[in-house]
Amino acid sequence: MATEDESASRLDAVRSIDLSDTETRAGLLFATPYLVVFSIFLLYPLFLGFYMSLFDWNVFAPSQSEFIGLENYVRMMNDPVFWSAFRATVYFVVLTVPTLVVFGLALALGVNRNVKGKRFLRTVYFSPYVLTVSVVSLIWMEMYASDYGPINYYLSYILADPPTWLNSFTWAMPAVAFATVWWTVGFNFIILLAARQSVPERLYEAARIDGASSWRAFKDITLPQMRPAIMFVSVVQFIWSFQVFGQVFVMTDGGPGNSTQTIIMYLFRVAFRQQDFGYAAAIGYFLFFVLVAVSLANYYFIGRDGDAS
Amino acid sequence: MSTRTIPVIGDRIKTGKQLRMAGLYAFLYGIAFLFLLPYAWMLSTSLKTEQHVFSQVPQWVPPEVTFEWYVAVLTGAPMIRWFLNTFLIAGATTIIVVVLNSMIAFALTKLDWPGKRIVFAVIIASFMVPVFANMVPLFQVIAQFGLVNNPLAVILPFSAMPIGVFLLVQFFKDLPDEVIEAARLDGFSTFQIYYRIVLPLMKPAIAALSLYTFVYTWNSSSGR
Repeated sequence: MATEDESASRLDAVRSIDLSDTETRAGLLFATPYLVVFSIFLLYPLFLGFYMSLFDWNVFAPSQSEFIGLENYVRMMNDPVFWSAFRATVYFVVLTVPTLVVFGLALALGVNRNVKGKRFLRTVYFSPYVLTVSVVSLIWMEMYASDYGPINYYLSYILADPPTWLNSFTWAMPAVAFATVWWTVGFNFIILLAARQSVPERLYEAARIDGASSWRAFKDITLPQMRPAIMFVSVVQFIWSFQVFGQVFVMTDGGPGNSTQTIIMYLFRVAFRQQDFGYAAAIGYFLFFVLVAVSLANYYFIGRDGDAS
Repeated sequence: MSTRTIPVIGDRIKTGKQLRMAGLYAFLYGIAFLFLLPYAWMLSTSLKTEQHVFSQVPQWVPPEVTFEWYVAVLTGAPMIRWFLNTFLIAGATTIIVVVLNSMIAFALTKLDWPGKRIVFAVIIASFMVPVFANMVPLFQVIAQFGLVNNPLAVILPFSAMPIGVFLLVQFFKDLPDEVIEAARLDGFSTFQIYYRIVLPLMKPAIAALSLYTFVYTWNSSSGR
């Protein structure tokens, strides 16, 4: 299966574009409008950014920038603050991605059962997602506040010394992650619910007739049928979490210490506070390459697996 | 004896089911309750007078209701104007995104043309571009096009958003090819297939994408 796939794509690349073919013409016609916008506003800046990362970029007079080759990347490798940001980001990803996917799936499957008030539940779960990151951050800063926040007031009944959440080295990141789950799980929930609803009901009827348990039905029908959606949600969530910025920026500003300073936050600091755009671009491209590598590996791994079954 | 055991077993299965249903309800509504708490807190804080905002004991119902903060928001800044701007930008972006993305997703999944795998791979790869890394070069591009201070400077970069293409491709893939072949045999042109078959059948996916794009643009242009 896999080899056939590869040879097909090789043929695809070699085959010249034959404009007399109606389908080719239609395909290009349908693809072009998007590709034009995409090339100008995404692809071209992407290359321009890489170019910038090779310079000691002068924002105010770009033509006077000094070419320094890969020095920005070398500097990054030896920058302890960068590595601390990298670790903080990975920690955030580990805290949020599995939670968001599993929790989103649980909510979607729950709501999909014939429960009363489906519409209400759907609205409630999705609603935080429509809020702006600054609003979300402000709400949770109030909730977490150690002197007047409701969370610590109720916790003080159970715990003698409740954590100071956003001011605590141990708890700042989990607190931000928790707020993030509240904020964004609705996205996964909606996508997974749509995917669950498009699983043909007759598969479950067949399973029921064959006497399959509900666990078997979940494992052998629900999960495989929903795999494209679950994969989509996981990959997207991974990418978003890796680029976390707004919540951390507003809620902790990277503190206490540098314990919640993530990669994009550091990049933002370098770019807009130190005006060092070349170095910021280098950090951005490092992050970009990591994400591309991990996601493509994930996509092809699961994609091929799907072809084989 | 046997006449009595049968209904007991039946009852037991029924209670088991009911218990599980009760558990499900407790889970779903418990979560919903927790989800609503921060809103309640925000609402109650917004109605509190200054001295009660920082009260040590949480007051879910403000002891004294004031609308001064709302008045301050509406009179202190041209909120309605900003609101309209954001609404127009988000609306325009959503329309452009849905049209462009559904077209290319259709071309990528249901039409055969050389190079489409490469195009798709490039699109997928590009949505890992960190937004902030791309911001400075993007600004230069917009300046080159003379679009600074033009709403298009906000609308067009968002319209290039590749994630919608990925989302729609995942959904369009599942549309059986037989449907399209049947339409072709009935004499539908490619555009008719796209407009009259694919789009109506893919309404849920397109609705999801519209919602997502609108929210994303709304939040971005109001400060995400």
